[in-house]
Amino acid sequence: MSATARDTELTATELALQSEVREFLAAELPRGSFVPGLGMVGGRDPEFSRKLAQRGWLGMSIPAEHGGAGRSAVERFIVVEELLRWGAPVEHHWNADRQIAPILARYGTPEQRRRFVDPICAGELSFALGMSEPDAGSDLAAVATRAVKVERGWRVNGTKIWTSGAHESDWFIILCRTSDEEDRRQGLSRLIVDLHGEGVTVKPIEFLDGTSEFNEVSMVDVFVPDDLLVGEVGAGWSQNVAELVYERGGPERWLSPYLLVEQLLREHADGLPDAYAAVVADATAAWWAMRRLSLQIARKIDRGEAPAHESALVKDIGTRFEQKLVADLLDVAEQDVVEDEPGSFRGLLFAAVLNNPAWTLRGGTTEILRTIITRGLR
Amino acid sequence: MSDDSDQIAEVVDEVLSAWGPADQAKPETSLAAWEALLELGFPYVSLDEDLGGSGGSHEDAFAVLRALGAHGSGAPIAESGLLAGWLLTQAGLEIEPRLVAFAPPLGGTLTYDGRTVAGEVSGVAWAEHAAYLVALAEGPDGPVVVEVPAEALAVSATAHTLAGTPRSRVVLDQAAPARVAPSTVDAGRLLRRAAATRVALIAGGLERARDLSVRYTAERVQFGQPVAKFQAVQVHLARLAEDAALVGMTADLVASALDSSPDPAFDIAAATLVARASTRESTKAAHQAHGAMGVTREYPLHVVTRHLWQWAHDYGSLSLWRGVVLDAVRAGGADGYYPLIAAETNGPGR
Ligand SMILES: Cc1cc2nc3c(=O)[nH]c(=O)nc-3n(C[C@H](O)[C@H](O)[C@H](O)COP(=O)(O)OP(=O)(O)OC[C@H]3O[C@@H](n4cnc5c(N)ncnc54)[C@H](O)[C@@H]3O)c2cc1C
Repeated sequence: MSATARDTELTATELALQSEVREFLAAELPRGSFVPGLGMVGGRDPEFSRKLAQRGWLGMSIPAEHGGAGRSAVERFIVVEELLRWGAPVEHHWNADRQIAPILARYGTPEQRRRFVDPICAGELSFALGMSEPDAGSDLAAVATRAVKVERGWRVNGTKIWTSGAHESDWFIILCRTSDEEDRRQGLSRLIVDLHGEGVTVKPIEFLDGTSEFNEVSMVDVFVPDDLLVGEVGAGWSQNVAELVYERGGPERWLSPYLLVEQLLREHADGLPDAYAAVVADATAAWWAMRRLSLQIARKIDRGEAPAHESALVKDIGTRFEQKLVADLLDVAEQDVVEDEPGSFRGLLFAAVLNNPAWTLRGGTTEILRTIITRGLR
Repeated sequence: MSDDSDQIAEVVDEVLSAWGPADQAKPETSLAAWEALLELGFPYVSLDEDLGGSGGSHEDAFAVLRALGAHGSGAPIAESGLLAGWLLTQAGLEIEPRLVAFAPPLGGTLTYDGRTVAGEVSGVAWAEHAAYLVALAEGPDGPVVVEVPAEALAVSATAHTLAGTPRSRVVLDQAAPARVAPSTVDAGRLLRRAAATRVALIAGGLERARDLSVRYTAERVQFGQPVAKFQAVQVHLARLAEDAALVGMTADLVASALDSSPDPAFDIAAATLVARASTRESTKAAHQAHGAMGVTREYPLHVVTRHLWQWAHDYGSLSLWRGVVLDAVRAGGADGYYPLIAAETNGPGR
């Protein structure tokens, strides 16, 4: 068996986990009982997140001694994959589970782990990510939010933007400047900030379809105690870079429009119309291949590798595919694409057409990814 | 890749490196490369050792094909070895190490009446150079494998493929086969195996197209800097890197699938669709990144891109392979769809 096949074949334990998740979803969230979402923006349901936690499916790959389930990146992949392709409401725990818990398990103090990782693994805390600013998008090192050292903590001033879910989250982690250095990537640190704290204002920004998922978060003289600094002062940039591996190569980068095709098949159980045949065949082949490439990244992480180049590759392949699929389906769709039936093929297509421009922006734009990929080729 | 297949790839690479890239495009080079590889047993990797094969896994055989693909070599390892040789061994016939022509499964129908073979096949590679034609024919009691000596073949209409290799029409009129045996393999399975060899060849070709493009754009200076510094050019390089990674991985998967299942139809069809889509985009990207240099006879890019275009066109139309994937999709329906993608089901061809 080739190394690739070995990497991408699931073990008996992993397959057992997969069926456990499927049974759970079929029982907890039977098809038709909820409006499924497109991938990682599938809705917010703290109750559902807590049920996942009870199963041990949050903070999965956090070592047990740090309050996690001590399972593998592949096991987390399996759970996430099932949740996303089901269209389950994952937003409440999404950032906390994917990013915050691993960051704190790695760089956090024992006290921070007790205070945050434990409740994250219990599905109780939700986090937003405060990276982008009005003048720091792709060029993240340009962040102007500043934290000045004061007694027992930091005083923070600045504005974060596009902060998804800040209006419904408990905390957010920010990248901010703590000193001025010649190299702009030095002198950046990360702090955990209480979104309900004094001086913090969350203002929703409407998305093009009229919904409000992201926000502007302004911080005026916000006091952040010393024990909410993540890792070392000045290590913010390198922490951020290390994290991207988890953020980029996962199933959320190619599953966003998955349900469109499954629902199309459901609505045409007596035979898929010819108009869709080529699009569905090509998408099926692409998913079959991309899933394995993505799964391989999780295996590499479990072996202690840091597949940054591969993660960037998968994100670009995945999001490019996602957008092409939506455009192709819109081209051949035989019905009006209207909002009225959430969860139906045309309802999902409606949502996908309006949302897909964001898929190649969030988490680092396509252009930036391609620069990273090219750099890795030299 | 395993250590074995790594070593195999290295040796094949070394053998093929005896010819410069410009020579690689010449038919006589392909034939000479065939001879050199034949001496080392490389055409018959993964085939039954008791019947003249070289043994080993499909992973090893694909390592040979990928190295061939990377050199843009037209040596008929797939046709003469992995397809014709396989057809023989599957029927219990011994392989004799020599260049034979392979009748492509969609090229035409041959019938065997118990004594002689009649019919016509087109698209037969290297027919003028072959000692025998090996083909699947319809016999009185089901499919048979026939081996017909060159003297009994009428070879005509030889033309060059996109890659510059010859293919001909072969007419058999009451031709007496040298050997015949009942076949356990039908035309569909043979076609799938043939398509699988293309995935491996394309994987090798895309890696080479990527590497050539990375090197060239790092060396070529315009506006005072290597053109690889321009982001518009980086888009092409990223695309090449993505396609090479994706198809390389699918080739690994198909090799493993062939080792563990006799006829992994869905995997081969899906891999074929992926490999063809990648070829379309990546050959475009490679040429664009190279400017005029890439379209010269002298520069080696065309040696791989011309083969890539041909390999992505061989053995079945796009709609045929989409049909195979769709059969599996339809068989599983909505509830079986994700399990199909995740390759868990034992649907058709699994
Ligand atoms: C739905 C959604 C949710 C988001 N959620 C969050 C969140 O929760 N937290 C958060 O911090 N951020 C979030 N973001 C912000 C996201 O990370 C940024 O949009 C992204 O990093 C790009 O920054 P920008 O929008 O300022 O674009 P810009 O950086 O201004 O880019 C504009 C264009 O220029 C291109 N460009 C810029 N620099 C270069 C370069 N060097 N080379 C080539 N091209 C370049 C870009 O690719 C893009 O095409 C979210 C964005 C979206 C759309």
